Amino acid sequence: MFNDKVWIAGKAGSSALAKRFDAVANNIANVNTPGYKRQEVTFEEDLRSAIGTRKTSNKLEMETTEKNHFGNSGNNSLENFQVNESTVEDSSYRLDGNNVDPEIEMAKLAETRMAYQGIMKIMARRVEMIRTAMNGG
Amino acid sequence: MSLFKSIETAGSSLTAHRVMMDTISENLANSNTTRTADGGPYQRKIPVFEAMLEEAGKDPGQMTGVEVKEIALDDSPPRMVYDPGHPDADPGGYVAYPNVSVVREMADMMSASRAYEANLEVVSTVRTMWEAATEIIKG
Repeated sequence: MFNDKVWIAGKAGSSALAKRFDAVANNIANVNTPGYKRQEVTFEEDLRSAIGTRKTSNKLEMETTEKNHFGNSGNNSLENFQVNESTVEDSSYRLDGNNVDPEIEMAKLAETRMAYQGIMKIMARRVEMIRTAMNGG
Repeated sequence: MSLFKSIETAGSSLTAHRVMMDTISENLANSNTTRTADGGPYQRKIPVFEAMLEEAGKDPGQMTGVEVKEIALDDSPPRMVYDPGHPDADPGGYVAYPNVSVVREMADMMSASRAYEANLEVVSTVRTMWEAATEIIKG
């Protein structure tokens, strides 16, 4: 019931956003720590390719139920999807060697929150649909 | 879960910045103290922040906020003011005042309070994100 693409992509996306949120929280926590270098989480590109070709070709992908079937098995690559966590060592405009920019971090905080809430809304809607079907309309 | 860790991270920073605030208020309160238990004028105190690493658990070495490593003393020379009538004046008539710069302490105070606010924002954002996540169960 819950192994459709939207659900799995939602899970992968929201956990990646939670990781990014963690990194942002860490950066904001260390805004006054001398020498601290900001952490960054990137996943958009990987997630897009894990979801499949839909984005680039605007075509629906055929379902692969056998490992010998043609086409990439989108669900499998989504399950193995990983986020990239890195420490950014770029130069700092601050004298204490810390490269956290509070404004950028606050903007990322808001962005992450909105994206997360969006995914949660979609997943909640999905549960609602199943519930409607269970109750017979 | 990951989002709970963010609250702990922000919490550690809230504590650290409260300590920073306390240190600043101590410095400001003693900006004219010429006599201390150790003798000599009051020395400015500096909170030393260090990024905290997770020791055990799921992924050791992962950063989990900030902690105040120590409260260090500022070793820079005291401010010498010519005031021969002062009981703590040296034979030359100079009084050693603390190496506290009120302007710098005020600037640090602003920075501490802004950082505190930013971390409070993180905590409230985690709350709204959790609320969004629980919407799934409600359907």
